[in-house]
Amino acid sequence: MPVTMGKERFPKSDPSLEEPALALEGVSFAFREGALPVLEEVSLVVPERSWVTLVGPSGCGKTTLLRVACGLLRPTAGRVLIHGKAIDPRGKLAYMPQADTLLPWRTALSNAVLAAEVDGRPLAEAKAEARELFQRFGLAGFEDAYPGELSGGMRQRLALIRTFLTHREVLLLDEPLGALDALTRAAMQDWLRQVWEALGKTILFVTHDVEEAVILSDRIMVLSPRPAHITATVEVPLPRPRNRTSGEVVRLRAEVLRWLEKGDANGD
Amino acid sequence: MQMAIRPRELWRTALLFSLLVLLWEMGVRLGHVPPYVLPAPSRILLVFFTRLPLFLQHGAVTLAEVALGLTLGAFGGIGIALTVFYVRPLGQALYPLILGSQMVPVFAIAPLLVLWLGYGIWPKAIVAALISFFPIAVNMSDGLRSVGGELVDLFHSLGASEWKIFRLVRLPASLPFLLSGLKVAATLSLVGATIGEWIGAERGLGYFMLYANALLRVDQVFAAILTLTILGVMLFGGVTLLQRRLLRWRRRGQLERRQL
Repeated sequence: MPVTMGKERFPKSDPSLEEPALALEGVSFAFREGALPVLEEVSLVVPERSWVTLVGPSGCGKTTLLRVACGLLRPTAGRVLIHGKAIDPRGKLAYMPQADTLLPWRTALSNAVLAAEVDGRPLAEAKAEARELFQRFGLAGFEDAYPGELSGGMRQRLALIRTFLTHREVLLLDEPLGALDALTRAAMQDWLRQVWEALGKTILFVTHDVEEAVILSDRIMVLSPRPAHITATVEVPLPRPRNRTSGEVVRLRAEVLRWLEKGDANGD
Repeated sequence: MQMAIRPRELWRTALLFSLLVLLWEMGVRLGHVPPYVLPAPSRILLVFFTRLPLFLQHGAVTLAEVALGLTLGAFGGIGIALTVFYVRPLGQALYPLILGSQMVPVFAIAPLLVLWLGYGIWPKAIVAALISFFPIAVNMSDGLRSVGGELVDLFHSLGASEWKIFRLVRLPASLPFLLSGLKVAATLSLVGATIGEWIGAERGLGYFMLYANALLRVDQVFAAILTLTILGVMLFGGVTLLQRRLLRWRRRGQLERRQL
């Protein structure tokens, strides 16, 4: 795989060379047969090491889409492809649910290495790795604290570290920065971008904050209200770190917002 | 059950208790109540301490019955909770029966147990187990169900087996519930063992109480009750200590988030 940087992150010249890390092909989903579908023929591609973000009106099915992608829900039609193969995604991707899912009876460090325990990987190794990440991302000294002793921002950082330490290549993050105040949130966005760059992960991200989407993503997919389908794909070919007040960011933000409003107008 | 005893506020209890005991003492002395009707607290204490070896001996017997009964009850209760949770069809069939079993008075069963199993430790242990398994089963069931769907989703997305989910999430999440159940069960099992001894025994505090009662040694009956009370407090305290040790995270976390 060629080393790519900045806007060349997607080698569009020859897409057949590498299969995307994750792809959805015409995925539809309904909770019951005959019920109003939640997802309707959603297709999307998440290239390796890219950051793809889903935005859409609340309740449109973004979370459902992530749950289908990681195999918690079976699509009623269409396929989920991992590196081009239609295999069961369970165990292959790292899903971070929106709710706080830290285990309150485990210390921060032992929460961080949860996936290693699930996978049966050696714990000592995982803990050493976790300590390094704690050091690098401002949680040093809190290894033995319980989640109840940490602030909201720290808990979310811990949950993200745990997700990074799953050793899965693709991370599905469902509004991981929700429920944070604006200042903490901006700092966390920067933090998350750095970790992503440092670890070379692939991210499928859900947010309802359009500015956040523009600041962080390579590509933004706009979803319509239920039944959700993709109304627009907006590429963000800007170098990082991005300035939220720069003209390009403001312009792209307006464009995404326009698509969101259109989706609303066309919706039933 | 969320009732906490705060050591610093215990002095009120001590004061109230002392006052009641004092009233009792004065009432008996001033009213010239004969000791075979109601002995004064001082007399009960005197009997308790002068015949301490006797009470310890009978107390040890009762305690052994409780230990065996509580162990049986705990395993039974946990087993039932796991069955109801993991083997749904069997659990659904079982649950009404278990609920119904709680409507049968233990007094009615105890004589049968003595008839079948004799005068030894078993009928008492079984009566204690029959009383104590229920709060454990109910609490453990609640604990197993307390784990939120998103947490389970997280584990499924990692490809975790049911066994891993049980060991890493459901079991530790159930522990606070289980220990609450155990607290109630510990006290109940003492009642169960005593009932068992009333029906048929040759040793134990329950047996001793009936014996002393027949001889109109009411002071000894009260001293036996005192011994039972001390045993009950010890059992309750023991479970509380266990709770503190095993649930340290709950005391250290500033936010108590019971809902997962």
